[in-house]
Amino acid sequence: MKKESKYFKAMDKLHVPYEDYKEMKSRILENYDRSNNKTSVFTARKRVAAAVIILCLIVIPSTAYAAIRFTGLSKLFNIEDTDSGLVSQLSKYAVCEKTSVQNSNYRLTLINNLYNKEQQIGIAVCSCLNYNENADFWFDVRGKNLSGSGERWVDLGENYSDGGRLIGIYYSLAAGAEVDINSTELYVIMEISGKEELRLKMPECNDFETVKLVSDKMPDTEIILSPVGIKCKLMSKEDIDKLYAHFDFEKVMYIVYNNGDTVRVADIKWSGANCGIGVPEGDFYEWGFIPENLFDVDNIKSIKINDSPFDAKFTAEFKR
Amino acid sequence: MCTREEIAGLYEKYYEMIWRICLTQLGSPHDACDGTQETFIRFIQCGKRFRDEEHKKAWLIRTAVNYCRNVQKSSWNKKRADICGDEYISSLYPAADEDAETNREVIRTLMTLPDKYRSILYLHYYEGYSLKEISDILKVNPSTLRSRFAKAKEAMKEYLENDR
Repeated sequence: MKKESKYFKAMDKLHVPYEDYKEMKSRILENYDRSNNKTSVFTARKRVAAAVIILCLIVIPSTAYAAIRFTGLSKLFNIEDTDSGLVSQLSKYAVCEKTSVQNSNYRLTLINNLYNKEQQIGIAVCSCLNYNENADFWFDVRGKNLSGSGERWVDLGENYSDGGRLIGIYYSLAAGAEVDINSTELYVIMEISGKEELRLKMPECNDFETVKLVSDKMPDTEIILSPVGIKCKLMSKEDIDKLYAHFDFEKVMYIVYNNGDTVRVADIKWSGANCGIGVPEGDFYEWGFIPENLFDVDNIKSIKINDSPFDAKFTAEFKR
Repeated sequence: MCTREEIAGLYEKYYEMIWRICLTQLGSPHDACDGTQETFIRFIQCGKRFRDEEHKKAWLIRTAVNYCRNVQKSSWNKKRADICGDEYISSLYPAADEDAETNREVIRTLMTLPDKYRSILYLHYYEGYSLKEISDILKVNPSTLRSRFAKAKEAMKEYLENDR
């Protein structure tokens, strides 16, 4: 840090106006007083409200399901009597095809693209052959806008990497002003040291309300991403104990996957309103900033994906 | 749980840093105040145990940057006009100041950069964090951070020349 730089000097002279300073301070301290005084009442109210909501969530679907089944309506709705339950029976399937593009040095594969139309956000999950974390790799989602006169490119993405070869690119149409999804083609772009190497057009993909990720190598693995949370149906008690031994963070969920022969454990850690992904040694990488209302962190229990990035095969199940 | 005095002390120590981060990220004085306030309120509510002062500072920075990103991504934000125009930038530096015009130029140039570059420059060139430390704080892949830093530095070359 050199204090003679113009940047340093300009920043050094940026000061909070006194009125703002005073107002912020009093609001913060007011908030402190309020949260201290009202904790017990608020908690009690919250508990009652939560109990009522849970009761409703259990009673209403069960009653409806029972009514449908026992009044013969099940035949009309084609509901089978299986353990998989009502939700999966009503699910429709759509699959994002895995696509690849390559040149002589690299291969970029789009494994999945989850897009939520209402939130206008998506997560493109890619893998890259010959990815080297020491090089300046840059992955991005860009939109080619075809409306109006001539094509226009807009930057929509924000990439993270697991420090290996599995890359997730969070993108938001809100990031590119006036982007209309209906007239925009989405591309995953891979740059190395500022030079574009590969460009992969994303196949069209339905927006998701609820997505079930299924790994072909782990048939008992089932991960459900939904607007209200992430659920995982797979982990044995032993697995969970083993994983919890690594962490003592609050509000943590886990991803476990095979990277070749090595099992790496990564965690997604909630920090503020955002999610980070990383390995347990403490190297956290950005995963994307998912609005709090999309994934309710309190519903997150655990996630396990057991796959190699190169032949990972996830299918996405969309609930309509 | 911190005491009222500790919260007040923490505010005194870091409010200006958080406000500068929010201002350079969001480009609006009102949003910067909201961001600063929200960051400290989240601190009060989080009830987290911190290893040391540095950990606490890093948490505040990260939370402020996250807050700014969420604001920038919100649909409300994309529909409104940017109010950090020339008039506001001028008001930041009194005309009587010797370097007022240069300072304004620096801020104008900074505001032309993508927002993801701005906090990196601030943390490196003002707060004195190394790139490795910034990648830990912002939880950004180190190679991604290096790319962003190089691009930001290139754009601000004229104003950072003494640092090379």
